Amino acid sequence: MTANKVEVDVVVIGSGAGGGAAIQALGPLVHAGKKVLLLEKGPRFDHTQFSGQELDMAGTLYAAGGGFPTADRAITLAFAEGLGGSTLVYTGTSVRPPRRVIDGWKVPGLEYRDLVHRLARFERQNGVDFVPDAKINDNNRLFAEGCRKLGWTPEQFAVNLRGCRGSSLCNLGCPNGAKQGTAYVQIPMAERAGVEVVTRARVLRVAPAPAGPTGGQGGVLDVEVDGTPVPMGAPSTWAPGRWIVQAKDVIVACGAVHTPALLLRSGLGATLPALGRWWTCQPAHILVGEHDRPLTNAVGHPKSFLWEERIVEDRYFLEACMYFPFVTAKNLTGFGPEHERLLKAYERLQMILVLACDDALPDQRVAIDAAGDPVVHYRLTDATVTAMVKATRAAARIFFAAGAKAVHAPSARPTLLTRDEQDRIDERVHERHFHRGAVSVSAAHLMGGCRMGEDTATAVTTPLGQVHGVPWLHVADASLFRTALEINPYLTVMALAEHVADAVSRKHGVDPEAARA
Amino acid sequence: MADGTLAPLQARLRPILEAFVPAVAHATDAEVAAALARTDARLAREPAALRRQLRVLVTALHVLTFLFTLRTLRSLDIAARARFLLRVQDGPIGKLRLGVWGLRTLLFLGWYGNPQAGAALGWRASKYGWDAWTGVQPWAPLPPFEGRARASNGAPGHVPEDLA
Repeated sequence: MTANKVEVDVVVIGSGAGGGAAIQALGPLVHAGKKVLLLEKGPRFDHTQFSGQELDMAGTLYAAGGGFPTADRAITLAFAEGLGGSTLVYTGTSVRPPRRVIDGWKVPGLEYRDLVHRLARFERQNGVDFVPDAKINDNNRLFAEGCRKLGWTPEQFAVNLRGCRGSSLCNLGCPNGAKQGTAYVQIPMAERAGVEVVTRARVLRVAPAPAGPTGGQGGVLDVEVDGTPVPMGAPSTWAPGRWIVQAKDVIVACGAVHTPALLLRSGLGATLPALGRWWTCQPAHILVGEHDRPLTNAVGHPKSFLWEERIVEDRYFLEACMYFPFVTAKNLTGFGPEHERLLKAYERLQMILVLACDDALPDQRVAIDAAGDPVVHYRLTDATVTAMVKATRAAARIFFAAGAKAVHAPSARPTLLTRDEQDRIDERVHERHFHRGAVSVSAAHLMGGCRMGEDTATAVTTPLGQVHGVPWLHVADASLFRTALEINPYLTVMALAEHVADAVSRKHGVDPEAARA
Repeated sequence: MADGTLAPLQARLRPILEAFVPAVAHATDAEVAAALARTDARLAREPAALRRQLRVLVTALHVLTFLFTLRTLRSLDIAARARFLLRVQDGPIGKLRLGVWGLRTLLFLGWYGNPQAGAALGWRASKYGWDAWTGVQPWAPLPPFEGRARASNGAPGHVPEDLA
């Protein structure tokens, strides 16, 4: 069967925080007569179809239903597939990266000052602001209250909402379209500028364009457009089947799992020893505190506060959170009568997410299997477990200070701590009780695998996101990060992706700053 | 015989599911079948080898119970079943530990993934959010607005003077 062929100047693969920011930045190229294309593996969704039902939406929006497993199946990774990528399912928490992290990367030309200007612009564009006091639910209030009683300083998250009704369903796709993800802001902007957006288009591999009369130029993408009917989401605007896309420049923004996998599938691992490596994910798990009275928890924005005062010394931070019945059941350690009793107290539960800042290590990596699909080799190191245990102790203190009568801690045996055990938290919550494989650990902040930097032994791309040795191939997503960001990453991903896309714009003769002005 | 990975094992799985979720003891066979069908739908995306391992694990849990207690899993009361399976989950054999954790997670998915089961726990999220909320109102006081620390972008959209 003959494949359809398309020629463009620039193609972006992936439409999440990275791809969305990149495609918007490339919009002005269209005015300069260039052809720009966005390819997304998942469908384009209509948020009015989002049901808020946990299994339906997780199965529709997330890769592997939200439970993409690491190779040893000890951790599940959450990332979305659809136009907007993981910005479909995040809570919209919009935080600038710590300066120490960006400076610590020591990437020549990547300046914190430049990033902040970009971040501020995205904040304005995405309507980033603080949830008003009256709309903050008990689950978040108790987090802040508990911190303050301990003499700690909780911080309020800025979030990117317009018209939030407080459904609390952010992680299942906002049914009100309130979250200002890339599908709602940057991609429509790019489409208005004339960029073509094609969904349900999976890129199988990228390769150098064959040499023609004028020599080889750019890359060629082998693309498969899926025409299988899906319960939710629009069909592709391209006919199902094989497509060949030739582009002068290719920007890969498929996220920290699929971007390294695509490059590995394309045979680039042989020349790029760092490809897929130094991968991090800020592993997390949920803790639950039980109160005497019902709370507002499954209403209102789920994530308004964080506490990060121990991030440098102890490598963890805490966030208020609220999850759905199955995810909550999964995260409570064990099963049986006590597990069920606690779940039945759902209306009286407060939740805190503990997140560890894991070290970027060469052995933590994305590889591919025989079919070319990603396999994530990641293990919880002793240092990460220690950080999670310390985080659990801190969270337990917040719960009790906020008035909880019991706290469920996966790294305690028995797992339930009662109020009269407050003075024994350090003894009760301990690394020796943290059984890898028996504690539900998940991660949604996936980073690294295509690190930026000048040294090809430890980096995959240049400081401008160009893959070393491949002038037409670029990366623009969280896989560029050299280490864990130590905070929710989407805003930084956007700024970094724009930084990469701007370099591509200049290559095509367009001054991005002038175009934005 | 039912299709799927776990549905054909319903008779052997029910005592395990009851140990994981005691409320299942009051469920009809049809409700259990529906839960296993939800789990099987999720499992359909998994490699065949993993599905085979799960079926072996179910048998192994029955055999282990008999070896260690000289009773069948079904003959133990729910609390005793749960205690035994927790011992396996916390035991020294990594594969069994992960297997029990994986099986309970999959069975939770089938059971609590049912919207009615979620509602029975008190989960009342609605797309209409605060407008549809019939429960309690927020109660813990918040500090004065000015006194509250804010994450790094304290003034979203603005560039601090030293970086302007």
